[in-house]
Amino acid sequence: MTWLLVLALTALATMGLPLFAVLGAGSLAASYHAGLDPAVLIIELNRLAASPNLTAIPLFTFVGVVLAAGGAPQRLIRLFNALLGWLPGGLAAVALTACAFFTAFSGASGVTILALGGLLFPMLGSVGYGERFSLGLLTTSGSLGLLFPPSLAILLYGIVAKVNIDQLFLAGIVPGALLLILLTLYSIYNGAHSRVPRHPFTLGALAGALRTGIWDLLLPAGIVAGIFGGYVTVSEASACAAAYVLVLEGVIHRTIVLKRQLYGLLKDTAILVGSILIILAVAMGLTNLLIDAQVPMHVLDWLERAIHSRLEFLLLLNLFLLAVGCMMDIFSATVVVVPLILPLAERFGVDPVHLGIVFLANLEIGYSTPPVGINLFIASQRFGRPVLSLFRAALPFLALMLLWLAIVTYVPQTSLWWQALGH
Amino acid sequence: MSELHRQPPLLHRIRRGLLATEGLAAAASLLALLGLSLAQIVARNLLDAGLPWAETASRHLVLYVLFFGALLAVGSRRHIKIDLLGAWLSPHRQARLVRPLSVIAAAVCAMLGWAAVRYWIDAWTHGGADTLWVTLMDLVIPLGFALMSLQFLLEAALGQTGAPEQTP
Repeated sequence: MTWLLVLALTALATMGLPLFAVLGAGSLAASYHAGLDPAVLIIELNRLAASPNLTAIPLFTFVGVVLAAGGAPQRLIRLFNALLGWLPGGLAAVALTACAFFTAFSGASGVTILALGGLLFPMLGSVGYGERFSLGLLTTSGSLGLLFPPSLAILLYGIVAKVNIDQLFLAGIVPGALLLILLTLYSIYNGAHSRVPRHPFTLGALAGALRTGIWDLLLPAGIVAGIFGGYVTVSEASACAAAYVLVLEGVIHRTIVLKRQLYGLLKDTAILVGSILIILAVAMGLTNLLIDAQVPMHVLDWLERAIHSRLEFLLLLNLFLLAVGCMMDIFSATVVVVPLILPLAERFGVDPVHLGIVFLANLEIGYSTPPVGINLFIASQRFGRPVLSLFRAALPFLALMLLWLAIVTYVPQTSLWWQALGH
Repeated sequence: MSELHRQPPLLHRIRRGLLATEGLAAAASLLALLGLSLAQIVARNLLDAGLPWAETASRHLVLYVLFFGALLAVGSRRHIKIDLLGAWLSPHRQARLVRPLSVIAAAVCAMLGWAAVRYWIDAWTHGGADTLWVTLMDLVIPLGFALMSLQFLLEAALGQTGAPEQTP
């Protein structure tokens, strides 16, 4: 009976029933099966309102929405182009850096490809990059800054796993930078190989770009300094950032007419937040019921018989999470999968902060893999190319990302370096 | 005559009215959350005085943003889906799935809404006087699920003719 229900819900999910409804149906069925009043699901849902740092999710989402509408992508491209455009493969490095920077704020919701991809694709083509390389680069770049603060994915993992978000932000910096460097090196190699012409570095162009872009650069710098300097909490940083971008776009750059556009921006933010958090709200009850039914314990028993070392566990975890990444988006996967793998990781001695980075790294790759890699679909829509040719274009980048995943997984110091500093 | 013109216009009007109200509620909740968070920072750092109720109120406002945002996501068809089949089906076949899936989603929301009503009545009956305002704020949970059920029913009734609401 249980298997029939699981099969029916899986079938409905693949047909396109909203995920929160799939999980809601599963929660209701699980509560009836356990002989519990479904009101327990609402008690769990209401516990969401007790989560620390919860307010940071809507406010940081708002920051991303306002920046996208206010023209931050154009300013960032101009700035990074003046700064890095002179390098061999410079424009590709610009694309990677700008996308990573912007994704950290927009939460890899596809806005990066829509906002930056449309600008960068013709630019890359006009300086001589092959179409396949450009498409691959822009498709994978849609989730590149996922490990940098104040990434929405990190915030959500911290809330679900009850892990310190400050520590997660610190842990993501080195792996995030490592991936950026790896992909930049590949782009430099490709730029040199394709004989892409370089443009000279000029101080005037940099100064001009800095004048408009400096305020955007100050935002992440201020957030990082504020949180790690102990001046503000994560929630307070999000409120300050939201007020800052309103002043930045509405008063300094005047790219947004607040009186006319604020309502639409608030509404758009609410849709993004609502579609993510409703899954978390509904899944909280289901997760608890699964834990009460000792499902993770049964999996653990099986794993303990089959697996004998941390390395084996991590390898299996990577394979499992890559498969999850092919099927689910990062937010749903965080809500559904993290509570189940946390006790397993603990049993095999994997630090929950390291687990978070490994988890997000796997899912970051899943963004560009079929059948439901959201980057592929958004890029397909944006560039008018079939999903499979975009996947083929992304393959060299994905290969590098797999190498990076291996480093991040098997060298925990890349995520836990800050522990040596006594944080 | 197109299918759009055969639909009872009343349902379209109800849908449009609901989405407009939900949009206002979502925007107001988010703006209130921002205002309250900033007020807390100012009170703590500049006036050296905390707002003890503000933390609880802020977190409950997130629930308001969550539910009204989720309601808007129904109207704009932006709920997160796994949708393996949808990506490979023709638009015509996808359209045929809208009605049955909306009915199922409506039923799930109705059941969750009913559970929320009983939870809320229990909290209201047994809650202390000092936390009544928090229980009142919790009304958004049953209300949110009930409205979502209604919204999905409207989507089912209107099918593909209830075009997704545009967002900026």
